[in-house]
Order: sequence, then structure tokens, then C-alpha cells
Amino acid sequence: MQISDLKPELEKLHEASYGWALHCCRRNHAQAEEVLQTVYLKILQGKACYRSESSVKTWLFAVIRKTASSERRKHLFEALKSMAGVRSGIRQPDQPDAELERSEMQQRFQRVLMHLPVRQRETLHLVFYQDLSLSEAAEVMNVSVGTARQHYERGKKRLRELLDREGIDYGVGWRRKENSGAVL
Amino acid sequence: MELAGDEKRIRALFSELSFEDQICAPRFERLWNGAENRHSGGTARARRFRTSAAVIAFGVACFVAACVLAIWSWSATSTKSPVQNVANVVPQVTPEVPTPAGRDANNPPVRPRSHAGRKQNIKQTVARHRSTEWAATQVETLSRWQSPTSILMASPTGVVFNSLPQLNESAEELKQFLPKNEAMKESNQ
Repeated sequence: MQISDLKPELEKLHEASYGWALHCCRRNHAQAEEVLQTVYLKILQGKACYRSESSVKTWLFAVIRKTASSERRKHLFEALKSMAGVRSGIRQPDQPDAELERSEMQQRFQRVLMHLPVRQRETLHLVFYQDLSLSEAAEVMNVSVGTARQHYERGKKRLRELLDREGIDYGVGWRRKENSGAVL
Repeated sequence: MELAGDEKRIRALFSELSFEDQICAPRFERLWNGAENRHSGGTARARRFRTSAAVIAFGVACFVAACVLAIWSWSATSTKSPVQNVANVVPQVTPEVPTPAGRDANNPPVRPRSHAGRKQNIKQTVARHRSTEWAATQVETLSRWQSPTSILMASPTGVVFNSLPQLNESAEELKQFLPKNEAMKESNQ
């Protein structure tokens, strides 16, 4: 697929891509932006090439996940270098303004999410946030559908427990945006 | 698949999160243009790198060619100069023992098949003979050579110093080796 054909698709998926990038970067907005721009750069350079083997969304999310992972490793290396006394340009994990803007409930929910293992968190995000089916989530995460289902079930159970323990009243007072899409 | 109550509530939380993320999401055009700028910058950088690499490669090739040329010219001059030196030096031919019939004992001459080969072989043999004769003359000349100042080193008693009395000589003959005083004393006794 040509870049001129792919660009409208990317534009359509931009917000969802940003949400996924944000999740992959542990809610760090600056890093998420950088990752997303790097993904677009990879597409322009032809390093990430869509071959119509899956949906554009699945392919794009897989590229974002991989790029975020490599960026995270790079930042970790830079952090290690800065610990060793070498000057580095690593960014701060989160902007305080954005943190203040969020509601208290959302902050607590995000803290709860951070207590989940990475794979479980990813599965829940892809299913509940991005409205993907389990097979699509498995494709993005590069695991089998069975494994993805296992992560999904365990993650859901653990999240429920943590929400109950935190006492987050997630039934009332939320601006709901119901997603009618099936899980699988 | 019908979502259970808990799942609906979890979905609601994620929807809220998604809503907040959409608010603070950057514009697509900004990120895309940034990526395009990086791409064009990267391409220009790659072009610059390719150009500089080509220049460096050309420089290295020139340097190597100059080195090869210098080595070649040096080797050419070094091979020529010994010949010139040899031309100024008198050839030192060691005397050879002439083999019977002028033949080399170790390497017997191969009988040439062609006329030209035979002619060349004759030439070589003649040259070898000439060099042998010349060497023999030189050896003879050298063995007969005497220093011009050797006569100054000679003394009248040189005959005495150069001769020794023999054991079987008589006493009278031995007296001549004694000094005159000693000889007189002996005769008086």
C-alpha cells in the first residue's frame, strides 16, 4: 500500500494510536508523542510496511508497541548512563500539569492499572479501550489467542479485586461512552 | 457476546480514560509533518554522508595509487643501481680448477639440439676457458708479488737467524754459531 493511500487511514486511527502509544509509554505524554512520530517516520522510510495481512489498526498497533518497547529500552540505557555520571537527555516520566488536570478518580484508576502485570494490562487496554477482539489483541501482542484470553481473564479478575479494594465507585457519575462491539 | 455488569463498568472506566486522552492528543498533522521533516533531514544527512564517503574513498584510492607508484619507481631504481655499481668494480674471479676437457663435473653440458644452441654452448665454453686462464695468471702474479721495502728489512745475520744447527753436526761446525770471544776461550782451553 502506498503512503498516500495509508495516510488517511492513519489520520483516522490517530487518536486511538495515541491512546495505545500512551499506554505503551506508561502514560508519559511526551514519550507517547515521540513514539508515534517515530512510527510515522518508520512508515515514511519504508521500515514499517503494511502488507495487507491484517487490518491497518492491528498492524499499526503492533508497530507502535514494538517502537515503544525499543524507545523504553533506549531510555533505560540513557538512565543507566546518567546514573553512571554521564549527562543524558532523558525526560521526566510525567508532566505535573497533565496530572493535575486529571480527575482524582481517573488517577486512582490509572494507579490500579499500573499494579497489573504488563501483558494483562495490554490485553485489557486493547479489548476495553481500543475495542479490539481477543484475536486482534493477540495479533498486536504477538501471542496466541489462548494466551491472550488467559491474560484477559486473569487481568479482569485482578482489576476487579483491585478496584474493590481501592473503593473506586465506577458505577455512578462517569461519562460513559458505551462500546457495543463484541469482545470476540 | 453479552457483557456482564462488571465488564460494562470496566469498559466505562476505560471509556473515560479514552475521552481524557483524546482531549490531550496532539494533532495528526503536527506529528506527520514532524516525521516528514525528520525523514527529509535524514535523507539529506544520508546524502551528505554518501558524498563525504565517496570523497574519502577517492582520497584513499589516490593515496594508495601514489604509494604503489612510489614503491614501483623505488624498486626500479634500486634494481638499476647495483648494475651500475658492478660496472665500476673489477670482477673478482675465484680461481677454478679446470675440469678435464673443460667440462663441469657436476653439471655436464646438455648436448644442444639446435644449431643456435650448439653455437651458444661453444661461446659459453670459450668464455669459461678465458676466465679460467685469466684467473690462473692473476694467481701466479699475486704469488710472485713482493713488497718493495722488504730489502730494507734484511740484515747480515739474517742467514744465522734463518738457520738452525742440526743435531748430527760436528762440534767444529757448531762453533761457528758461537760469538768470537767464546770461540777463542774454547780454543785456549
